[in-house]
Amino acid sequence: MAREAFYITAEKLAELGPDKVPPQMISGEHLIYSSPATLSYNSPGAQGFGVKRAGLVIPESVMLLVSPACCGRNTTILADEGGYSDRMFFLQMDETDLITGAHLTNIPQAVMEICDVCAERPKVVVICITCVDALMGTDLTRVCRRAEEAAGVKVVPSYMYALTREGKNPPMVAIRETIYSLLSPLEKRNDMVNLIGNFAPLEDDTDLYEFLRQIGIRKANEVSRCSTLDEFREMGAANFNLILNPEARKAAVMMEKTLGMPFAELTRVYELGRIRKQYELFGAALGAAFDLDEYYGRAEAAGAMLQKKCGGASFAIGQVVNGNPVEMALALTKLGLDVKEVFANIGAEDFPYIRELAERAPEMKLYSTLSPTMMNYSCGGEVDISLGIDASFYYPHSVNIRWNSEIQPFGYMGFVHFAEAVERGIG
Amino acid sequence: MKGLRKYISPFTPDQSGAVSVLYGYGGMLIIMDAGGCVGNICGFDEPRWLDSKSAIFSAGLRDLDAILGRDDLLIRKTKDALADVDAEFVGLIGTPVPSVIATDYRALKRLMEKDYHIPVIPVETNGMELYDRGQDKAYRQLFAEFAGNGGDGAEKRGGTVYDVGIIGATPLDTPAKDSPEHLRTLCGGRAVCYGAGDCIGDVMKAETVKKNLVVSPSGLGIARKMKDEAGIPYEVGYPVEEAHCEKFLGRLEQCSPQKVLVIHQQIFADGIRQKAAELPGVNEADTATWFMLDKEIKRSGDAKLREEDDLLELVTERGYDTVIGDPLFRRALPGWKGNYLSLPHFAVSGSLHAAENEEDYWQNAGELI
Repeated sequence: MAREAFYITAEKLAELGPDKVPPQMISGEHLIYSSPATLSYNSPGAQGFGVKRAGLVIPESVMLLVSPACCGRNTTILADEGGYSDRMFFLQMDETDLITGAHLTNIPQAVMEICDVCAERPKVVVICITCVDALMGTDLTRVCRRAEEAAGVKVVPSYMYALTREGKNPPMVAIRETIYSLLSPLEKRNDMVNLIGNFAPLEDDTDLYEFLRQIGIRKANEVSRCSTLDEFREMGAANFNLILNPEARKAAVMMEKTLGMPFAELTRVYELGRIRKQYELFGAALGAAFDLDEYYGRAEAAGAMLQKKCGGASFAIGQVVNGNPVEMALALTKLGLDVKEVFANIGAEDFPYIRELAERAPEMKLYSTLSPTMMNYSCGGEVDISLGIDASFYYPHSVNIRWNSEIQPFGYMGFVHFAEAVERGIG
Repeated sequence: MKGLRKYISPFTPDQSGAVSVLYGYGGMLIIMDAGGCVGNICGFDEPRWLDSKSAIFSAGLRDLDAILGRDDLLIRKTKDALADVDAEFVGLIGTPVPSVIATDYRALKRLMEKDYHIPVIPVETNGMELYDRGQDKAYRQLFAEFAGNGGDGAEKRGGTVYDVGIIGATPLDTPAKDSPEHLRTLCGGRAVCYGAGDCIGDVMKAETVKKNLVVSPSGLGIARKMKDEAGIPYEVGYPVEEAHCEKFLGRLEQCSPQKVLVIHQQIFADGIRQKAAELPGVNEADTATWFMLDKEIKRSGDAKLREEDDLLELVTERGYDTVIGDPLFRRALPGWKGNYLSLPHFAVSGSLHAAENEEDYWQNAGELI
């Protein structure tokens, strides 16, 4: 009888490959363990940008959550703390509604009523429905059209279907599509690009802005930097979309069809060689070359500082970080630092990193945080520095670097700021 | 409009109420959801969850599991988990998804018990009712499973004989996490607080107590059942230390109230109401609740609130000059000019206005909002 938390070494996992990942690491194969460490990502609406808060990124919008009361419970606390409680409204269902569908009939009237109580009349109402309507096959698009006609305000559908989290259109993919569905084709501007995928802006000094300037881009749009709906809608004039989060791919495909807007994708990585290679490939695709040297130099110096300050220290990396924990482990390992454990949900996209880790740190342990065996994880072991809020749960006595601010790090400067955060943390 | 909430966010639902009752008994609690409900329950409705590890799991349902009704998958996953985690029992907590697909809990119980050889406690919650309904169901299932056999085998499972059984003192109904200790002390003698610091053995000995004390309406159902079936009498009331009361009443008195409305769970509100009614100048004190309003203990003037608009209507129509309730309700009284005093209720505002302990709660209760 197993009485230990399940883990696998990087070497063993690389040997098994993506097709033979152990069942303990496949969430559909076991019950999902709920610990404080997993709260931020084991619930589509739990913390950070879940579906509800993400939908409210649309400027001058409000949201009506149409659902059983339980789906909106966390909003009581999160909306108050996040300062958006005056933009959230609820239409609670009961069992009769499940049978009669009466809650759907009431939506137009509810939209009219909430528009009336808002201090400033909203320009967009986002209707959000949940698992029960997924099972009932509700046609929310049709309901939104009726509400729009009745209330004279733009009404868009969104879906918080936790049931489909591992399907083709999971909630965080669908909400990005909802947001960008509001854009209409405008006359193209060659000097404009949309950065899509994040719900908060990149750091102001990120090198990506500079590199885009180098190729003549004068305006890099981000929805989170738009304060009005009109400003947001100007994104319809962009020359192309740059995906910064893979969950925005579906939205990008949709915009390619509806707006004729092509897209490219960049991945957030921390390993300096990979950052360089990615920018070079991106530049080549655009027929341009970026001048990377200055930023590369700064990042290299930050890496040297990390090596000096953290040489001999051990790391554990959690899942709630601004980055892919496996890639971050590889980046630190390549700097010669000692990463002992990584807590992550492994996917096929992690295997390029895992194969390299198998070469450089074969004994590194990878834990599956959602596995029931994590009940047996013995917290409080010996690690000097933990990265991510969840890692502090596993290593409460370590120096914890949260590294999960809403403002998004990226590129060389993302790495520089990461190194600075570690330096500040260890004092 | 029915169900529309423009000012007040959703309260703690029945599924969280069920967990609040079963939480401390060492069971493996499986929330029959896709992941979102368990996040809500643990992160926002169960303050004890942050203090220690607990065997709460999500069934991790996916669309095809729901559409095809793959109970066999749940049974297999649970069995696998039981190999890794010790559990006194398995608790199955319903959510909207099993409610829509009409999961047969009795069949699941039968199949699982046959397979696992430990008790299975199904609680048919649906995420659409309020927390106290879920508590009521959980108490009934828990006591049906473990009490009623005269306490046979209870000692082996840590059971002790008590004079008083306190029912309904979950974190959702009481001021703070240490409230059960205060209640036990105020009861005097040997008292057990079901669901807070007791064990399955104590539930097995539930029929040996001399009386039960019910401190929130969700405990009334099981208390009445024990009276009918085992002849155990019960009392209803929420005892509060005099010093705490005085501090709170002092604040209330400063508002020179004449007509007072107290909003909370019915029994807690009733205790505050009785004290408020004794203040000089108060000529009427009533209670109102969004939760269970038990007819047998209700007094004339006590009101049941259903829709959001009911609160403003009640307060303005009856002309209350002072309202005591959770701070979040204040938003639902736009335009009302009376005095609103804070009396947090965890099932309403959760951690937003939660207190570390009773001392802290009563220190801040009665603040003018």
